[in-house]
This record gives sequence, C-alpha cells and structure tokens, in this order.
Amino acid sequence: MTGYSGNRRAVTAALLAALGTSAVVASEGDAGKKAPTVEPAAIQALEKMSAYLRTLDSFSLEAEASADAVLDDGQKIQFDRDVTVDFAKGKGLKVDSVSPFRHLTYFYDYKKLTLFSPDMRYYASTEAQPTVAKTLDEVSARYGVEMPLADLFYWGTERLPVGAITSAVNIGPGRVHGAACSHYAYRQADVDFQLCIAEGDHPLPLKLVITTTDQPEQPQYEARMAWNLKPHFAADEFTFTPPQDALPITFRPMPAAAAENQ
Amino acid sequence: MTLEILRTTLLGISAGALVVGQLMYSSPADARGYRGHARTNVNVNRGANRNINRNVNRGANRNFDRNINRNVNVNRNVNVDVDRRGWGYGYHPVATGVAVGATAAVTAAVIGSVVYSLPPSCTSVIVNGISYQQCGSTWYQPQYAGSNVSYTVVNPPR
Repeated sequence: MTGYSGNRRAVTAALLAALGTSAVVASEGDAGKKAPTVEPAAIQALEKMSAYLRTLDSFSLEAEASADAVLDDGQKIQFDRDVTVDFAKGKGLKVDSVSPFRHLTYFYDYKKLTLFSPDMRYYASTEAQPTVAKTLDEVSARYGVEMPLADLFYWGTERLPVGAITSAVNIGPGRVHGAACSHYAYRQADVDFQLCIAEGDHPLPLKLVITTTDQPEQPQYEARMAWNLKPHFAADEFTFTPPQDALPITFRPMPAAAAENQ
Repeated sequence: MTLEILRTTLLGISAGALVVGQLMYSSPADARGYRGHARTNVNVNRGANRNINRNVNRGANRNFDRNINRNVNVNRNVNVDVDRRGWGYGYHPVATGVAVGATAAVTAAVIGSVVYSLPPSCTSVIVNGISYQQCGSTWYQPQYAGSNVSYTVVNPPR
C-alpha cells in the first residue's frame, strides 16, 4: 500500500508538472511570452546542495555515466563510461574516465593539470590555477578540455549561477542505488537538467541528467553517483609522475580561443 | 575513389589500431557519421566564447556530415569542429575514424594536416621532450585536441 500511494504521489506530481508545462505553452502561444515556473523551494534545494558541495574537504565518488551521440539519420546512440572523482581540498583532484574507446585520467595538484591516457601512454600538462574551477575554466576555454562531472566544482560558484535558471520544479521523490532522494528539474539556456538530491544531512547529487535542448534530437547525458565522504588517499595520489614509457605531448589551442584572444 | 580503395584504407587503419594500441572506434563495419552529442556539463557555454563556439561549430557540423557521406576528401579543418563545442570529447569515436580514413588517404603527407588516428606501423620517438610518431616516411606530432588525441603531419624533427 505504501508503495502504491508513493507511486500515486509521484504520478500526481508528474501530472502537475505536465499541466504546468502545458499552461506555459498555452500562455506562450497566447501572449508570445514565456511564463516559466520557478519554484523557490527547488532553487533553495539546488543552493543547499551547491553550498554543501563547497563545504566538502574531500570525497571520492564513482559514477556510471552515459551520453547520447546522434547519428547522421537522427538516431540516438548511448555510450557508457565509468567515472571516478577523487578530491581533497588543498591537495588535489584526480578524475578517471573509462570507456571501451578511451581511458583518460586527469591529475590536478594545484601546481599542474595533467591529462594522461593510460592506454595510449600520452600525457600533457599545463600550469594550474589556484582553484579547481578556475583551472577547469581555463583548460576548457583554451584547449577544449571538458572534464567529466566538472559541474561538481562549479555549483556554488559564480560560474554556475542559479540566476541563469528559467524554470525550477520539484518532481517528487526519487531513488538512486537504493537511496532516497528528491527529484528536481531545471531549465536554462541550451540545457535542461535534473538532479536527484540525497535526503538528510548530506544533500549530495545522486543523479544528474543533462538534456541538450539546442539540438533537435535533444541528446542526454546522465550520471548516477555513489559518494564516499571519508576517502583515504595516498600521499602522491594527485601528482602525476610519468611512467617510464609515457609519451609527453602538448595541448592544441582551440581555434575559438585563439579568435577570442585577438 | 572507388569503394575498394576506401575499404582498403579503413582496413589499414584498423590494423594501425593494433600497432598504436588504441583507436577511437571498433571496426570499419561501424563506420558512420555522428552529427551531434549530448553536453556533459551544465556549465558548458562559459562566458565570452559562448557565441563563438556555437556559430563556428554549427556550420562545421553540416559540412562534416556532407563530406562523410560522399566519401570525398574530408576537409581536415572540419574535423576539429566535429564536436559542436570545439574539440571533440570522445562520444563520436566512429565519426572521427571515418574522417581520418578519408583524410589520411588523400592528405597524409601534407605538412600541417591533422588526422585523428595513425596509419599502420608507426614508431614512437621522443625528440627534445616532444613525442612524435614516425609512420614510414611521414612524421606525426600527437597532441590533445580537447580530450581526444590528434596527429599533425610535421617535418621530420631530426
């Protein structure tokens, strides 16, 4: 019975959300203007999660991630990868991303950021900025390097402002890896995203869904995250020491970044 | 260019995967183009270069698809914009393989041209702290293009 009523509540919430959406569409058609729903509680939940993320001194998470690619004929294909994020404030960050096609490890020790391909043996390093977010910003703008789950280091900073959100809705209860969470849906320019935020004292994102809305096929990215807030890291965990057979290479500057600097 | 030649090229690149140890696609049978990919971060379009990225890459995507379907000489500059955000980020393994096949077959020896995988039988050589791949008489400089590895044809470094 409990399960049923829970389901009914979720369905009701979804229906309400759907009704809200059609109401928005209707008014858009009538007045030619958007009337987005921004629930203050949904914004507060995001802010609470973001603030909590910024308080974490260290964590280790394992994520099952998948991303759509769109074939020429419009068919969407989903590719999976396993991502591990190890972070210790003041010491560094290590992110490992493994798919059948590619294995990449990011090392950041507050001095350098290194990208290493364990199977191809290539590595490249660049000077680090004083924070993870600033470093990721720089390598993204200059070199087009997009670290998986970089958002974890942007939420709660000015680089991912809640002011950009045009719609925020509480969908209802969620469940990820057996843990209860609250499911929220947000919209902003070019992307919709959904979060399932853990209930209780540790409001961590357990699931992230990103829908790319400025492509007609709306491909999606999804990550389900399992968190460990008491990780143990080796002293040299975050510093890349090139193996003997590793091959030093460089990052190619992005064409767009070059144009921007002119 | 006949289909037979194209097939030979693709098989050749497949053999190259064994030598190099890793390529970004699985088999020629999978050869097909991708025209889009999911963003992997909410915070993707950052600040000033937002419009630059969007405008530049949208056009390039169409161009890329068209070239791939016709099996004509792929414009090597288009490859870098396969990903609409700039450099590719790895969810288009097959597309890059195809582009490389066409490009490598036609312009492999052109200094400055860029490919995304190597022909067979290459040797890693480090000169002055920079890695190169020597493939027959052609030298490539591998670099990270975003989170992918690209290979630029260069003059022999020694």
